Amino acid sequence: MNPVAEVLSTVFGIVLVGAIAFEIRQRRKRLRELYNVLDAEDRQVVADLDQMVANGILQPYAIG
Amino acid sequence: MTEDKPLQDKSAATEKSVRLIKPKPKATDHDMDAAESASQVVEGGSSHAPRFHFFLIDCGWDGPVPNLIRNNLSMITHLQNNDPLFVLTREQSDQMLRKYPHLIGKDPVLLARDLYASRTDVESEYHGFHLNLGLIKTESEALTTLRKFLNFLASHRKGGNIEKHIKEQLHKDGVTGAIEVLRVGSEAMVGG
Repeated sequence: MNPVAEVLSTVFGIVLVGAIAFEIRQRRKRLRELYNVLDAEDRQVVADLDQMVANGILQPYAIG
Repeated sequence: MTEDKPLQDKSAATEKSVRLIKPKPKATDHDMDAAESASQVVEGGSSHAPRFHFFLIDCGWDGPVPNLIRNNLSMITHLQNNDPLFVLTREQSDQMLRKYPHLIGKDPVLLARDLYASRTDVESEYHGFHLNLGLIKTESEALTTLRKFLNFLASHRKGGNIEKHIKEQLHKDGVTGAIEVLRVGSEAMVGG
């Protein structure tokens, strides 16, 4: 095989794999933004909401 | 209505689950279905400890996606064993966003507080998860995402380690997830 063609094939392959990996990472990032786990960063948000429920400030939504 | 009398005899916790709040969204057909379902639960006496507390943080953006969630509130409780849903008023939502600016631009946020997490492992930093509907641009995508979210919760509500399933199934972690990400992406491209 022509060495130039071999190099070009290798480079093309690396670029292709890199592009796929980048695309997967981007889509996973979007999924994480959509369905975000409540972790340490949100601890205080959760605590505030729990407190509002405990204090009766928030009442369950009901139909009627 | 015949259900009124038995309702008075139930425990305070059960009464709380059917209490009206303000602001009260306009009733829809879905609301009526959910009301019937709630009555059946009360009548059947199948009270249960909720797995989740749902919260809706909504500053009142006008658009198809925020309107979609407001029109489908009853579906959340209806499909989640009537776990309580707490809808924050616009003022309460504003206060939350002012206090936690990282939520700005993501609302309406549907937050599922996993009560199992706090009961089993106090030290854990997993508290549940939230669906940031404000990041979605189209109504159809929002509806699909909401359905997927509710389906996921309903499927895994009895499981212990739901966080693991979130990573595998919603975040598409791992090799299988990567293949799924590519497959869905290809389908989206073919479908336009």
